[in-house]
Amino acid sequence: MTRASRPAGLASEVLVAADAVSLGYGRTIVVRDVSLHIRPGTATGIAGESGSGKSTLAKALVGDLTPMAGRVTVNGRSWSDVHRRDPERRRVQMIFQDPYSALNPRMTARQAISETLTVVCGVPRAEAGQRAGELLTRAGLSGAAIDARPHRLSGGQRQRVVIARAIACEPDLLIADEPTSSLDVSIQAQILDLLVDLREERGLALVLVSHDLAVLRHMTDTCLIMRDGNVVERGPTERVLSQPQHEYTRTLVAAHQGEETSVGSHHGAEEDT
Amino acid sequence: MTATTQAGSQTEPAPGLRRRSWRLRRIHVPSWLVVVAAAIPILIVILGFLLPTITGYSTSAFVAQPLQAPSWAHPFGTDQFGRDILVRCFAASHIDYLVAVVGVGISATLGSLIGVAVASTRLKWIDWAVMRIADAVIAFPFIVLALAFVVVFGSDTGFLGLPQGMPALFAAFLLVGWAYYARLARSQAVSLRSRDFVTAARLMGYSNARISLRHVMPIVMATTMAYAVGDAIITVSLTASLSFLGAGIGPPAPEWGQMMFDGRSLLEIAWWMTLFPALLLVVSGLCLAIIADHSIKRIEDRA
Amino acid sequence: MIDSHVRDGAGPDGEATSATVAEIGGLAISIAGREIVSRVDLAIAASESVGLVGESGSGKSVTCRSLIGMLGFIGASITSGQVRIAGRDMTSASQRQWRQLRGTTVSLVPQASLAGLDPLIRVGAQLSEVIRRFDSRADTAARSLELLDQVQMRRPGEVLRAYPHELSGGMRQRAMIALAIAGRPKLLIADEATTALDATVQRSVLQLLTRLRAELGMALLLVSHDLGVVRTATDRVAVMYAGTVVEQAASTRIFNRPRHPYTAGLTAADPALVPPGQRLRSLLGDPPQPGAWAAGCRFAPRCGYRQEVCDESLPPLIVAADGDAVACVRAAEISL
Repeated sequence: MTRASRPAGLASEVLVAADAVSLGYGRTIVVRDVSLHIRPGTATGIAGESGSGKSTLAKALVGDLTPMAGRVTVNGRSWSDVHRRDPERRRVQMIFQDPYSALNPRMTARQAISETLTVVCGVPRAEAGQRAGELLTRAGLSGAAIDARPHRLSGGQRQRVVIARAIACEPDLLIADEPTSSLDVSIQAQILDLLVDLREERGLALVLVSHDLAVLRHMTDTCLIMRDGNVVERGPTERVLSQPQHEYTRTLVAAHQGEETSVGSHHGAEEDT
Repeated sequence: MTATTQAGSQTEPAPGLRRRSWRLRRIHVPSWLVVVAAAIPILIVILGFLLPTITGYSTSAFVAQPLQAPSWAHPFGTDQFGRDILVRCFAASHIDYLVAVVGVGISATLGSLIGVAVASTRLKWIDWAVMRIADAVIAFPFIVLALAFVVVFGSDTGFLGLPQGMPALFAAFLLVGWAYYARLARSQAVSLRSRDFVTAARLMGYSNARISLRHVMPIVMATTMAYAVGDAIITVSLTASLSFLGAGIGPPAPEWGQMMFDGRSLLEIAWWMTLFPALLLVVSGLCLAIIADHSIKRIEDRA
Repeated sequence: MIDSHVRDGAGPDGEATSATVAEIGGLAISIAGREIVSRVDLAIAASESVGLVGESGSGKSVTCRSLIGMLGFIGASITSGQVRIAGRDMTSASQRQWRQLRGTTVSLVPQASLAGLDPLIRVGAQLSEVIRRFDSRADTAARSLELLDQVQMRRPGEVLRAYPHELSGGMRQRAMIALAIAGRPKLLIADEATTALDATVQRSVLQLLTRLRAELGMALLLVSHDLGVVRTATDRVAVMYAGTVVEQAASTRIFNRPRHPYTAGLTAADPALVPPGQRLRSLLGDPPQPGAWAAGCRFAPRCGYRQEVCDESLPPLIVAADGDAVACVRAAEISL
C-alpha cells in the first residue's frame, strides 16, 4: 500500500476545481474546455506529450494563469479573487521541472526556506533558521548542503530544497510539474519516494504532471490523458493504463511498453508531433 | 558538494561543428595582475594626497620657472604657469575618479532600480514609455548634452566647495547614465522573472516589492557592476575630453583633460605637459579595464 | 587489464576478427589530468545492437566519442587501452585517419536538438553535402529521396527544402539519422538520440533504427540513461558506473536477473520496471563525479553488500561462461 488517502468523510470537499477552463497566450489556445476536481489527499496525474497543454493546465490550477474562459477555484473561491498575500495562497504550492531555475542562485538553502517561513508562515526570524534546517533535513538534505548555494548542489539535492520550500507552510495540495524529468533514474526514485512519504505524513493531495506513464502509474490514483489541449480520457490510473479506451491513450501506452503498435507499417508511423 | 548532475543533459555539438582552430583564444589574465591593476589607482590617489606634502609644492601655486623640462626637482616638469606637473597629475586623479565613481555609482543604482521596477510593473505602458525615453536619451549625442548643461549651469559655478564645472558634469552624467543601466537591468529582470524561482515566490505570496528588491535586484546588480566598471573608464575619458574642450572642470583645479588642453598648443616645446596626464589617463583606463574583465569573468563563472 | 571479449569471433587474446566492428579494450580517458573513464572493455560485432547505460558521471558519452575520434574536441585524451574500428587500431589515429572512417564505417547520431543540424542551411543541402562526400558523382537528388524514404520521412520533397527549425523534433531526428547512414556505416552510435523526444516519437525512431539495422546490416550502439529504451531495442547491454563497465549481459536477462548491485539498484528504482503497487527501492546518495571516486569499488559507498574486500581495489570485469560479465568481487556470493 503505497498511496495515502484521506478518510472518506472529507471526500466531498474540493480543494481546487477547474470549470470548463480554456487557457491560452495571446491568440493561441493551449487548453480547451477542461474540467477537473482535486479532492484532499488524492493523487491525480496529468499525462500528455509536449504541446498537450498539461503544464499550462498546472499553472492555472496553482493560480498563476488567468483562464480565457471558465474559472479555477480554490476552496470555492476563484483564484482571481485571491490576492498575493491571501493565506489561501499557501494551501496550493508547486514543484518545478528544472530545480536550478527554481532556486535563487544567490541564496543558500537555509536562507531560502527561512525567508518563506518568516514571510509566509509568520515564523519569528529567530526561529526560522533552525526550523528551515529541520525541514531541509526532513527533505533528505545532509548537513553541509543545507548552507550551500544551488550551484554547489546536485540536481537531486536542489529538488529537495524546492520540495522543502513547497511544504514549509503546510499546504494541502502540491502540484508537481515534471519534477523528476531532468534527474537521473536513481535520483528520480529518491524524489518520488520522498513525495510518497510526505504525502503519507501530511495527508497532502498531489497533482503530478508527467510524460512518463510509468511514474504516473506508480504515483497516482486517477489520471487524465491530454492531447492538443483536450482531455481525451480520464479515470483510475490503473484502468486507464492497462485498459485504455481512447485510441490516443492506446498509442501512448504502447509507446511506453515498446510493443508493436497497430500502425507499424512502413509509412504508417504516427504523425510526428 | 557534488556539482550538478543531470541525466541526458550532455548536448554535444554535431561532429565537426566545433573545430579547434575556430575557438577564440581567451587571453588569460593572471590573478596577480588583477591585484596590481586594483592597487595602481589606489596608489595614484594616495600619492595625490601625499605628494604636495612630500614635495612641498601645491597644486595651484606657481612654484618654479614655467615650462621647465622634467628634472630631479620636477620629475614631470612644470606648466606654463610654473606649477609642478607631478603634483598636479596625481592630484587630478581625485577629480576624475570622483566623477567616475559618483557618476557611475548613482547612475547604476538609479538606472537599475528603474529598470527592475519597470520590468515588474503590471502596467505595460509604463514599461514602454520609460524604455522609449531611455532610447531617446541614449540616442542623443552626449557631448552636446554636456555642453548644453555647462551653458545652463555655467562653468563658473562652484557648488558645495566642488571645483567649478563639476555640478554641470554630474548632472549631465546622471541624466544620461541612468538610461543604459535601466535598459540593461530591465532586460535582465525580464529574463529573471521568467525563471521558476520568481514564479515560486509569487505563488508563495511574496509581494512584488520583495521579489524585485530582495531577489531580482541583487542578481541584476552583480552583473551591472561589471558593466559599471567599464563605464567608469568611459566616464573618466569623457570628463577629460569635456575639460579638453573647455566645458568640463574649470581651472585652477587640476584635471587631466584640462592639463592636456593647456599643453596642446605647446606640444613642441613642452611635450611633458601633455604626455604625463595622458599617461596617467591611459594607465587608469587600463587598470579599470583589467578589473572589469576580471569581474565579468567572476560573474560568468558563478552563473 | 584487458579481459577476453564477450563475443564469438573474438579470440581470447583480444584480437579482432572481421566479425567485430568495434572494440574497446581497457580504455582509460582523462580530461585535463582528471580521469573520467577508467577501464572500459566493450566489443560490438557486426549487425549487433548493444546498449550502453549509465547515469551522469558514468563516462558513457565520452566512451562513445572515443569510438568516433571526437575526444580532442572536448579536451579529452586516451591515457591507456585501445580502440579498434573494423580491425584497425585507432587509439592514436589522427583526425585525417578518423575522417576516412567517419560516415563510412562509424557514424554518430547525437541527441535531438537544433544544434545537430546547421540551422542556416536547408536540410536538402546538408544531405547533398554528405552524399557527395562519399560519392562525388552521385545523383544527390535521387539519393536524398532514397535516404529520406529509408528513414520514413513523410513528404520528403518538402523536408528537403525546409530549414531545420521548421521541422518537428522527430523529423529532425530522422534527418540526422539520414545524414548518419548516407555513407552506409557499419556501426551507428546513437548517443541519447531519443531522449528529448515524446514517447510515441521515441518509439517510432527506435523502430526505425532497428529496421535500418536489418536493412543495412549495421551494428548499433544505443547510449541512454533510459533503461526501457535500451531493453527493448538491444541484444546486449553494458552498464557503466563511475567510469567503468560494471556489468554486461543479454538485454533479456540483465534487468530480470542482474548480477551487479548497481544494476539491481537501477532496476529496482525505475518505475517502468517495477510492478505497480510495489514500492520503489531507491539507492541512497548521488552518483560520484570524476575526482570523487572511491579507491576500491566505486559503487561501494552506496552498496548494500559492501564488505572490506570491496574497498581494496577496483574489481575486474570477469566474463562468465555464458558470455555475461560482471565487475563485483562478491558477485558469486550475493543473490540479488
